[in-house]
Amino acid sequence: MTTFSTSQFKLGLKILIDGDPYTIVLNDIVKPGKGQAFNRIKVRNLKNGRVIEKTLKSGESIEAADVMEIELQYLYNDSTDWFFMDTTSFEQLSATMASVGDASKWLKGQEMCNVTIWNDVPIAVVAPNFAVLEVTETDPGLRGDTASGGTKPALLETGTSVKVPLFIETGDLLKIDTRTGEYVSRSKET
Amino acid sequence: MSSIRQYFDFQNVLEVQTPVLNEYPTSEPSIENFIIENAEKRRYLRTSPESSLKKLVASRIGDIFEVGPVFRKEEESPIHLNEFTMLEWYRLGYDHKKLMRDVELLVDYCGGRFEFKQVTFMELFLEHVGLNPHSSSNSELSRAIVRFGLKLNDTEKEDRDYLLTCLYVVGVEPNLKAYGAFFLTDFPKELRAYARLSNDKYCSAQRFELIINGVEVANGYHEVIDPIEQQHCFEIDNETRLRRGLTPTKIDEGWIAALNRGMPACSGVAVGLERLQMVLDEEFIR
Repeated sequence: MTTFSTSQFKLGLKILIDGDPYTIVLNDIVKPGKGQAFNRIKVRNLKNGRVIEKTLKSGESIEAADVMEIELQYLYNDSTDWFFMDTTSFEQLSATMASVGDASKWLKGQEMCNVTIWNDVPIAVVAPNFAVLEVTETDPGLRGDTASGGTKPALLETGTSVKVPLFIETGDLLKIDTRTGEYVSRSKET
Repeated sequence: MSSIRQYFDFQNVLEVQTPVLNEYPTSEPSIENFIIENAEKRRYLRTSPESSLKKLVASRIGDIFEVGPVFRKEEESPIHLNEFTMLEWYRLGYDHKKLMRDVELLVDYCGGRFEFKQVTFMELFLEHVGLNPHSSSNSELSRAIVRFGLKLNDTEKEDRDYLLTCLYVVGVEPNLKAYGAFFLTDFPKELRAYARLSNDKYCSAQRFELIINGVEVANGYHEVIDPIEQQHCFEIDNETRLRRGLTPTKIDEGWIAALNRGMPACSGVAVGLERLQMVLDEEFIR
């Protein structure tokens, strides 16, 4: 079991708290004038993204989480599991729907994703920042209306609905910012 | 820096310079010296000029101040540097209240535009953790700390000075930014360091800290001048060290001897100048 003492704390370090893997996002030292030192850390839960604050006595040790982040290619899903491949070793890994989370909205196959692996199991998947997806269904476009600023819903090939400008038509390829879920532009290529 | 010198010049406080390399380490249990080894001799980089300045005060030199580097062996952070600049001064005949006013005037003189308030240790504890720091039992303090998610071992549960510090860190300190500039006063006697105790019902310590926007900028005492009382403080420090598994330090005989010669009643305060500069800059930007 690897442990880290508070003096080894740095941003991005992966540690175990109450059995869950966390990454350190802030490490402050609090030392009242005549008192002992404490480390006050903010940590993000790698499974659900929630950030919590925790105070530790300086010198205390905390267990390391065996976590790494790697680039894997998304292959397909069978509705319960999502399959990814390491493109150098061709090894395949499956991830649960819960760990894929919001990334599932933007993945159709072939994308290189940033996958967080804890004890050899994927626990979080981040889709590429931009996805190019085809519109499978939307109300007929208002040709030429590029300026009025109105929006309408459009269903994408992954089954996700996004708000798009009125001139978009079924069959258009759209560039989407996966971090905000917002339409960026039309795209000519996938 | 020139504002500081000007201020003390106007006030007829004499600037002095004392050795950085000392024969004695600090006696305070939570502060650690850097050690310099030379042949058979061990010397310590000062963690504050307190001991040297008190010896000067005892020699009836009058009001004095010193600005200079001090060194503390600890984990570094933006507000905890291994080397920082300390301004420390002593005022004869002042009590801690009068010295707080002096600190306010100096900060104003350096360009600060703060509204200084005074808040007692008890007020902060009652407000944020619902306990009286003077009268709560060790087990009440321990339970509150555990509620904040910190673990305590059996020794720590009986270490009152530690329990108070711990609860301050987890329960009180995170709320201090909202207080702006204030003097924290009336410390529990366990956190007296080398301050006199009051005659009030809790024997609270005549110690203060100046905290500005959550950053501790200064720490001052109405100084202990009785050699027996000071010796007692040192002995308690060493007991605390033993309890925490640290080596006791040899007691600074020169300090006790100075008090024996007859120390004038006085108050003294130390200011971390990098931190003061930081809060002044922040205020200026705002």
